Amino acid sequence: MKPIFKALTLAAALAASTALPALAQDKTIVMGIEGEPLALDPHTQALWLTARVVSNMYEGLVMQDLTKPGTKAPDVVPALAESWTISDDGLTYTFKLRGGVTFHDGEPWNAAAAVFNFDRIMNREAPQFYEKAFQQNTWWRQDVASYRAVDDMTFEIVLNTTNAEFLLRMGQGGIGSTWMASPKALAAVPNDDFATTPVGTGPFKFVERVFGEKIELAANKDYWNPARTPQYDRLIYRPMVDVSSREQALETGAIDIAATPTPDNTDYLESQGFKIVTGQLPTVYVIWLNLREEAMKDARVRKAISMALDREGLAEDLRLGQAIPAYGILNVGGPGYDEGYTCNGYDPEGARALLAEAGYADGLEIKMIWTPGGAGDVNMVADAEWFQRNLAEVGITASIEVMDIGSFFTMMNQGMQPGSSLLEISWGENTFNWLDAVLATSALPPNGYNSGYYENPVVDDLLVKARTSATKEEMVGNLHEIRDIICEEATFIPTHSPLGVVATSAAIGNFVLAPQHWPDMAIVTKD
Amino acid sequence: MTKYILMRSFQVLPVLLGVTFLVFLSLYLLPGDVTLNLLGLAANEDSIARLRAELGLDRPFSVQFGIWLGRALQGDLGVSHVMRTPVTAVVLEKTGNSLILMGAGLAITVVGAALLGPLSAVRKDRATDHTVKTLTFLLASMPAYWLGLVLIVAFSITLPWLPASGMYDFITPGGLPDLTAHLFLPALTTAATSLAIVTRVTRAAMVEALARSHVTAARSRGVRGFRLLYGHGVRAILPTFVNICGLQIGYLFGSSIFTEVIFSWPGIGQQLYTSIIARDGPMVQGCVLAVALVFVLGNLLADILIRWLDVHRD
Repeated sequence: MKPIFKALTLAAALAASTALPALAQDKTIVMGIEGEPLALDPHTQALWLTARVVSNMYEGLVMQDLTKPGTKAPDVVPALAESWTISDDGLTYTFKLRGGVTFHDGEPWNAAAAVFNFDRIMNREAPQFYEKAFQQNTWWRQDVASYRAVDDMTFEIVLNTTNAEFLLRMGQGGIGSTWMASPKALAAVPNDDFATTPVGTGPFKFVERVFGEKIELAANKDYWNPARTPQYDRLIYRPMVDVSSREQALETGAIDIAATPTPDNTDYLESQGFKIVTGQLPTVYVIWLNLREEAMKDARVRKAISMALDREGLAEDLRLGQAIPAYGILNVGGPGYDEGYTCNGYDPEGARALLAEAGYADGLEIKMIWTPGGAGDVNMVADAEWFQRNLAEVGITASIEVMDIGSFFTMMNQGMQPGSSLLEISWGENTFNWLDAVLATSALPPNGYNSGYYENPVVDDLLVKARTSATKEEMVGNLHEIRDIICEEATFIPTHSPLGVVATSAAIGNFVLAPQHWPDMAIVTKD
Repeated sequence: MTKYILMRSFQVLPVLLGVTFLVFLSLYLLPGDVTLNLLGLAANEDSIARLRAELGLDRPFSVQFGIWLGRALQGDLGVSHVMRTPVTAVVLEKTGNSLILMGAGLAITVVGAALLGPLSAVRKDRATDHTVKTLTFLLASMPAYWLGLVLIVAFSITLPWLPASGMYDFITPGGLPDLTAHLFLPALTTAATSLAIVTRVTRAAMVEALARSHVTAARSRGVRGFRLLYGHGVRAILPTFVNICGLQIGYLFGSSIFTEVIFSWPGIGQQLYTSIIARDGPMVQGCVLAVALVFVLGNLLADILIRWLDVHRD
């Protein structure tokens, strides 16, 4: 209905029913989020904001247990597969599918549905093949040799290489996913339109999306897992770009949950009776150095920059405890993350000495490229100013050039220009996806985000080895080797890992921020 | 009169064409496009080229603009690159929401200024006049993003009287009364500057009108009070009043972007902001076209009304 007429119709409806009986109160949770999610298609999803919504409606063969906060990777637990076996060579995965599960449209979940979804993503011959899905899922698709329905409830995937993380990938989302959609619903609309009519098996069903206003979901009371069957009726996401309007809407009761309040306001909100929930995000902010710049070719200068940065101070004083320092390139909640790892830590004296040794006793001028960020982080430019002060103390004069996020990614994809010394952005989930897109020679501009022109054949080999490791231990060993090489060279400088922060009303319970980009909304309660 | 309307309407076309051309050009020249946002880590030379071709971004500027213009003339503003949904439907809906806000703002402006302006003029240099002048000075000096927050703190949080965000309450939606309640604070915020401007201009015009000889003549004939004010003064300042109000239509619509972001009002300003950040070309084009259209039509309407008043004055 055109809203110009909406008001009129409402007026008419109101006049016709002035004595309307109060509607039966259903329990609704409204969450104010930082922006508008993109297309709600599980196979082409992009942006964590999108995953937050999509993850309520869809699920994969396995999923992560998001009920515990911390820095450890969440456990992989059964979802649409009840159990699985992995062949001794580590190449064949046989999934025993969960019986009695239906999609939101009543269609049965079975091996044929799994094949239909995989065909949509990677079988060019299939009528439902979707080019965008093919592109968005390279990160797991590249390891898959074949897949088939063994019988009605058994699905088999054969890999062309071992991969210790493959199981996790069958539950992972955010950038494409193998989350399962109803074959009937998929076949009913053109691929591009499926995002407007999502049908999955998850604990919430799609109701309605009004762009710029809301995305409304309803609890799936027939969900297969009683422990995750929502104890409320409706879940509404409201895109609210402005952080203060999210906080005010929470205060006035228009929303129950506000994503990412400003760090300065969390004390105030708590004093007003609101709850502040924090949890480590699975990301790490890392500085890319432009290795084509003369000064940055010198490892002493790179180390000096790392040693100039007061990461503890940034985490405690600037980010008010809503971040922890980071020294290694492996992200929180990912394979091989080690909370106690340090490398080239804060040492202004040492930094000055290294700079003098490298011939920059009289100072050095650099340019830092920064972005205020997309949704989800409140004040990234303040980080740049913090580092600028740190660098000034060791004799490095840094100027800051700020770009909006769109221009920033374009610049990263094209590589840093001459005159630009470094940039910072976060990476994290999925660890391998990122490392391949950032460290590898194959990711040099314009083929990825190796924007500082890093080339090391040893690291290239290790990346492949780590990704295709047969065991978890072997994989972690390879990742640690990469981490230590990068630390020794100081070619990338990790700085900090941010905390996710959410403010909720007192009535909201069991809201947990596990180290993943989306919370489990099915377990949340409202009094 | 008909000839005048036709001529003025015709002049609207080059303005709209110019606006759309400029916006298209600036989007074209901006570094970065939507493909990286959409592809994320999947972006490589091959996937970027494929997606650019699919979205038609690989074609020369003139071809892209030509295709867009051809479709736009048939009412089809294309499909959003980000949302995968027809732009026309979204723009119509958001424009409607913004028009509700603008309409309320305009009503506050017109009614407020029609009362305060003449009142201030009649009481020139007296306490009432000074109060009105101070009030308008304050209103004109308070930017929307400040006034909006202050109003929210005062009337939504300290005194929990009015809602502060959105058009409807999602937990217990309540139709027109709900909408009116949600409309109050953003409309006031939007109207503040316009109210100040129109009141000031009206006051000045009225002061001048009251000093004219025909008013003096009327006064000497014994016409007093409201009859004098509205019978003689108002008729004289009506074209000025309509003209300045007409200009406010565009201003109110354009400036609603701040109000909409602060109050999470799902209007065209908010949509434009989101679309620019996402580099969603067709959506930005559609939103700007809508804003330009309302701006130009608002002025056109005011011009026609003034002309009509002029013709029918005597």
